[in-house]
Amino acid sequence: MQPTYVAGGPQSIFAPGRLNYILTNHGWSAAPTQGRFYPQFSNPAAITALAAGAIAAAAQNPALVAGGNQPNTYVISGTFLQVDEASGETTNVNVGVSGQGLQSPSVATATYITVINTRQGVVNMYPVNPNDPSFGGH
Amino acid sequence: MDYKIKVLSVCDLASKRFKFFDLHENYGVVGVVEDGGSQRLYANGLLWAEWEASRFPYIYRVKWIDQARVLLWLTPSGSIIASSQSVNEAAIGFPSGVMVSDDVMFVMYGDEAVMSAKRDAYEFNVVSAFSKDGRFTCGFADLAHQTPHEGSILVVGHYYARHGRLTCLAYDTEYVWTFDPKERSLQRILLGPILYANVTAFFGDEKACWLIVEGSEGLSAIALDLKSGQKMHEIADVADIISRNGFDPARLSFADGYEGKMVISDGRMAGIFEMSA
Repeated sequence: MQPTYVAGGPQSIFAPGRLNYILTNHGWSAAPTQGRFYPQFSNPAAITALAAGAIAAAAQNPALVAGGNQPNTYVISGTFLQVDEASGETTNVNVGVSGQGLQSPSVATATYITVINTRQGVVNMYPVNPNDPSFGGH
Repeated sequence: MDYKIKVLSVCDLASKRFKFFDLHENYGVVGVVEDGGSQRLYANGLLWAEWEASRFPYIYRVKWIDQARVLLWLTPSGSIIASSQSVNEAAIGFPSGVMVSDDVMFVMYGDEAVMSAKRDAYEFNVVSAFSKDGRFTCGFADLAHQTPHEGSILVVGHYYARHGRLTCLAYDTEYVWTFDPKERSLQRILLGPILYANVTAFFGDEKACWLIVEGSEGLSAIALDLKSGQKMHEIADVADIISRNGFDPARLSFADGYEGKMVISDGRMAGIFEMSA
């Protein structure tokens, strides 16, 4: 049985209010200047699954984790993949669009950032342009 | 204790067709109208500037700097300063919010811009204070990093400024912060059980801040004493009070006003509201 996550609940990876912040500021109804998750990802279950996936991937590959530029923050840069169980092939699945008006173009993207605070757990998530120089692109 | 609500100014929006606008008690209304392939900046009914929409495709906010100038963002270089005479680029980074008080221009940055900023970028400060001629004076994060606190500061999304000081909520912390760039000081009080994500609007004065909070019973207004952090007032169903002034309670939106006031709009009209504890 898959674990279920409730914001602020005993198994939560979000402290109270953080999931709501992410959905308000990076859900599909947020301003287009923000990185926004597609409607099918703009709900508590999907965001929780993306966060859990990023944390699990980072546990296996610590190179995905970097220290954030603000104190007590860590940043996981992840890509949402779909695995074909028969062939083992992986395909990138776009989770949203990166923000408009930033220093790199707004694109549909499978890459998303998960920001973790050492005490509060996951505090922010948003889709990004993987070619943005600030995320190691070029 | 008693509290007062004053409606200082009401402006008809329905006839103006603004894509976005700003309202100041003394300077009036300024807004951008998009028409075909052009964008026009009108200040109090006068055409100040016009440009092709493709020049600034992501422009979405305007704020008064003083009665002769406004700042608009986002543009390819971050922002522009416009007047009836000229349009010039402003070197203040890529703002998500701007608030002018006395001779200080506070520039807020979005969470993505903050998290990707290099140490020497204005965005790294979360909030940068500039003089009105664009000279950087002080960064919020510089002071916050020296102030012991719980949580991390990723964005300042609720704020007001009075007499050159910014009072604000910073996500992800549970404080009300007061930033004084002239004195290079930063003070904080605990916000209590109110979650940042539930706050819809924030305004006030030197004594008390007001939070409009979204709850299961609708919008309520809570006043906190800025010295003690104690709750001074709680007003249920504040939308009902606002609607008595002719606003449609189902379509209310809130924006930051000047000197601690708030701008309320329902799409047809906009007004400047002031509440005092």
